[in-house]
Amino acid sequence: MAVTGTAAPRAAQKGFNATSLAVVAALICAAPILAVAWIALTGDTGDYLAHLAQTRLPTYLTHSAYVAGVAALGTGLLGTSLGWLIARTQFPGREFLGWVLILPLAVPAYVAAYAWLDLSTAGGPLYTATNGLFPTIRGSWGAGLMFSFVLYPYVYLLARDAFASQSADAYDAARTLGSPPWHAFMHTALPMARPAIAAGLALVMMESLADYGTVSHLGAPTLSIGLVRAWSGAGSLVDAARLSLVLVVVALLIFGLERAQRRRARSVTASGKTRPAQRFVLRGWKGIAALSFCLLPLALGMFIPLGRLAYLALSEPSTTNLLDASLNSLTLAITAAIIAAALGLSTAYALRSKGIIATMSARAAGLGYAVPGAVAAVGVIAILSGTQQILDPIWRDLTGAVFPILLTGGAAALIFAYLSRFAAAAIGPAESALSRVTPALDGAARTLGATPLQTARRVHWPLIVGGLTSAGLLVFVEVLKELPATMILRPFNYDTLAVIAHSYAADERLGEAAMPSILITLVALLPMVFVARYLSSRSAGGQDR
Amino acid sequence: MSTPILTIRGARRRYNADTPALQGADLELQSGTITALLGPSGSGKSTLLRAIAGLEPLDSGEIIGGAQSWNGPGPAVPPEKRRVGMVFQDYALFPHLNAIANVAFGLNGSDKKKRALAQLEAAELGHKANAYPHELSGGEQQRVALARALAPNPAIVLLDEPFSGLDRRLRSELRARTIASLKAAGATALIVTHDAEEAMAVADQLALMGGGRIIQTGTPDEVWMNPASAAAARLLGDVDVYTGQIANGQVSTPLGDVPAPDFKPGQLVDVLVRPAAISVIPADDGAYAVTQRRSTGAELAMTLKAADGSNWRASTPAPCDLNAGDRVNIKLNQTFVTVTNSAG
Amino acid sequence: MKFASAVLATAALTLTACSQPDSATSDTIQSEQRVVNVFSARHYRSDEHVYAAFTAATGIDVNLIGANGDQLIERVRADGERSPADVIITVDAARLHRAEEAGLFARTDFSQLAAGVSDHLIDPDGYWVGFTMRARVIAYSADRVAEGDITTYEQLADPRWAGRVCIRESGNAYNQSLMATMVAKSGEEAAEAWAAGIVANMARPPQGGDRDQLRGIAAGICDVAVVNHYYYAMLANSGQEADQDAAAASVLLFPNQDDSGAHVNISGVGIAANAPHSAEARELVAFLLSADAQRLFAEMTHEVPVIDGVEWDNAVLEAMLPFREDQRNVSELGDQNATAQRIFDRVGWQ
Repeated sequence: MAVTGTAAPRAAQKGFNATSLAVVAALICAAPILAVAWIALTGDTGDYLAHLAQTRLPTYLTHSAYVAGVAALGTGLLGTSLGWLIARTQFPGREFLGWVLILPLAVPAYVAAYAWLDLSTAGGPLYTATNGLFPTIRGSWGAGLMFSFVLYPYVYLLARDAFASQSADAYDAARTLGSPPWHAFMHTALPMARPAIAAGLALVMMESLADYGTVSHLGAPTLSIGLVRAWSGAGSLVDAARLSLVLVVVALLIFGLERAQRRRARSVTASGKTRPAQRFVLRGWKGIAALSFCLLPLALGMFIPLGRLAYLALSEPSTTNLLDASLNSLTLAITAAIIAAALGLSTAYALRSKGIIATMSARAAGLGYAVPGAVAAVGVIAILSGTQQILDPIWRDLTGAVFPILLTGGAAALIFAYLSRFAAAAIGPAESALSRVTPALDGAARTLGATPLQTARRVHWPLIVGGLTSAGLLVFVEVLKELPATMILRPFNYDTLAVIAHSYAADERLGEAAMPSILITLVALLPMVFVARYLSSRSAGGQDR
Repeated sequence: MSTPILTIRGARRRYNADTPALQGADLELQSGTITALLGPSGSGKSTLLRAIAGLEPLDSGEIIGGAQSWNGPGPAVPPEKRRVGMVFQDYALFPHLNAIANVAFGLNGSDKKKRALAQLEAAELGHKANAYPHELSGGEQQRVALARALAPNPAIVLLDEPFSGLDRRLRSELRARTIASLKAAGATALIVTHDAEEAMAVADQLALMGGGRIIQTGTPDEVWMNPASAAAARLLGDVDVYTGQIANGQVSTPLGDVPAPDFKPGQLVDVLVRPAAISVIPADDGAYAVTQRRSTGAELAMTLKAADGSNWRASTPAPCDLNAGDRVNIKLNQTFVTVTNSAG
Repeated sequence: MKFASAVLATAALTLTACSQPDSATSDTIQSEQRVVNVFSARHYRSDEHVYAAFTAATGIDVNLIGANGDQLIERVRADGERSPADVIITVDAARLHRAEEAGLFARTDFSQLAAGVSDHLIDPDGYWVGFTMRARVIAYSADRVAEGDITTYEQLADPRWAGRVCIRESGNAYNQSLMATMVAKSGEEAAEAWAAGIVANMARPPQGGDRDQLRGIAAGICDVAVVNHYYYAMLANSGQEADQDAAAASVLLFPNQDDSGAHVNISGVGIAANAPHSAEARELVAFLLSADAQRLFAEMTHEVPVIDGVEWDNAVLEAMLPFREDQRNVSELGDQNATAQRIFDRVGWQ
């Protein structure tokens, strides 16, 4: 309802122009994709794509769909049922599990893939123990399964919050209208939580489409594999760029569909007061069953893979010095997290003004998330080397010397790629953190004499610091796990834990890959615990007591 | 005397160690009647309602629907089998379904849409059949919720504060419609409310609730005229209470002597005086002083101070020239005075 | 927010500047410490030892960036004139060829540097030289396949091996080079028929690496596999009992000994076209071809040295030699690489 005309002065009143920072954020996120699109649209047309269309493209497309589909199915079932159990029932250990169930997000999917493939491959312990009956976890269904094991927290979190905050009376009403418990769940609680679950599923599908490390290790011929093959195998950057566009379009479709159904479902938020739900108490064997069910995903996504890798690490000790790599991983992750949080916050501030530029910027920034790391890296290289080619002659004309910095040679290129991919992930949490600062609060502070800056510092900041930290930590974990862009863009003598793990794993030296894999997960677990507890405390806040 | 359609005996329910919600509630509902359950917040009204619906278990006590015991021995009868309809405080319309789908939710068969539409039209909402809950006003939502609860022809309809949250004018109009719908359906209804005026306006039978128990049942007239205790009286309106001792078949109060023939001498009793019991007669040397006066439209509400310093509320029809500081004498109308055993 | 933008910009520039590789301009400042910037697709433990030995012997520090060969090529190509790369090392001749086509190499006179190296392992145009050799050979089940049942690559497409062949995915550089050899030998049509025949014979969809194919034979999933020779040696020399058992279950065969010889590939090195430290680069190349380095490659990675007369101690490798190798110049592996990939696509070799 806010008219842009009246909103803009309010933003300017704040004393700093958040919109321009939001535009900067959008540019950073969207620029690499735009560069890729440019390459795709203006490059020479060889016959490679035609050849591909006749041979492998259908395979790539179907397997990408297969992977995303299996991942969506697995995370949907797992996340929704866990969300319901934690939000609406009571059983021993529920409160503890409530936040622990978020932790598998710290495990990179490719790490889970290393471990599970090793366990189930011919000659591995699970294979020999079951005499070949246990299937080897590989291919598209295997990759989808791995994503289910480690990405279900996306759906779990959103479903849990939706179930906790929806009106419990609707479920009760269905019961009084003759629905047995299962029918009442399927026809009231579930449809009312659908927007939240759909948002989680969209995230899961985009991550599984963008992944490279897992699908390459498990041999799933998806579009992202085809993309890298077109680039490195066939040496055609232009064709790789074109395939990237296909991926981006698919991601945009998912994005768009999710938004569309969210808009339609705006009606789904309960109107009026809602009674906090009374938990269904599960006693006796039911409680034990619930507890076991909740422990299962933790075992599948965390304990079993980490256990196997620990075994491998101990039996084939790594001789590589991991200290430098650890420091590098940490430095990159912390830097990217801080900048991403700042960008996310500015975009969130800009969005409050509801100006058209701010909204478009936020949308553009979201594009970055849809893109595989390899594509982002290609875009970054294209932009930076293009800039370099413009800068060099100008500098030489001006100073007679060579421009001292090789733009693609430093860590900044890497940070650029990370921000492009992950800054969007910080916008959402920043927005929701900022939404706790209502206009009424603002008005109260201002009428009490605080300037916009003071308001920001004394009222906004304490309210949003938790959510912002959360956002930053999420980006931290993502950067820690990131593989393809890092492999392509990193500077000399600058390995990260993820890169080391992958190169050993790709070279079938899983023992050496184990230690860095475990380190990534452990380092990611710490911030994940903070995020998990923060998110759980906010949801448990008023409702479940 | 026909079998009540619902009997509750000794219902007890406690959520945590500190506060028991129900402490032995007894209630009977006769078929086709509307009962209002009146009590302050926290008296256990909603808990009782949910226990009747089967949404919550009882710790002890019985709920008997018709001839069948609903809560044991053995597993309790689940809500979907009890044929108890319920209108929730926040209406609990399914936000993802439109009005007609909401109403049809509890129906089966190929003609359920038709029956749902008929129900909506009876509520004069046929033209909004395809609207979603968020597109309906508060009053419309309530009517849809009622239509939905009535559609499957339940034996009993429970309404949890169905008119709260609406503005005053809407409330009385909606009340009338609701009662009309219930009567037309021949439903047995139990309406929970904390508003005395509302309770008296809708009820065939009034049940007063306090401290987890039903403290009095009866028609609104009976209960208002003869409250069983000070607590019961307070639930229904303003009342002033004086505690005194029986002597010579009466009890002496600052307002005069009140006959109380049914009590033993020396017994401690509460004298419950409604403002309507006190008529004021202006007199310059009157025994009572007017300390406050307030207009309530057709009447004037006053507070009088007696010789012993006690304060009494009185009302007199408007217009009235009395102001604060004036002195008056009073006449006590015994119809509106009740004497009960003292609560201690 | 101009202040914040300034801070951001400064931070960005600092970050970029901080991790700069040494370039020509900083050479003069740090003239005391010599360095060589190596872009290598190899990641074997032997390399760490070789580089350490090189630094000990020459005092030149080695700056290493390791990545997949194709990605290295893209990186160097994108950096253009400014690329800090001094040498580019790949594990496959086709990648060397691609780097050459992209103009990433400087033409070098290898006559002195690579004196002892066979001609078919050196680029005829003088852009790169191989410094280790690896053969892509056939492994067959010790129990289920009799000696002599299979002797050539061509026989892998024979229907008698239906459902009995394990081989890794087509994206792998070694398979592509093997296919390139087949194209060069028999022509595109025959090579495609051969590939189609292998796909029909696969015991399972391609999965895992070469060692997984050997494990497949041990597990009874297949009877023959195609592997690089040193993977077999790695399993045999591994400390793990499971690995040794897997190796023991197979016999290694060097195919086509009666005609063209076994298909070989190289790890090769070329000096970068814009190398800032070309002198140091030459020294590194020389060292890679020296007896010390060749011995380390043979003993630690089980690769075949390209220089004669090197003394090394590796029983398993010893047992494989000598063998007749394909004398075609390995640059042909690069010429036919694109064709090979397209054949894979057409026959549906995953």
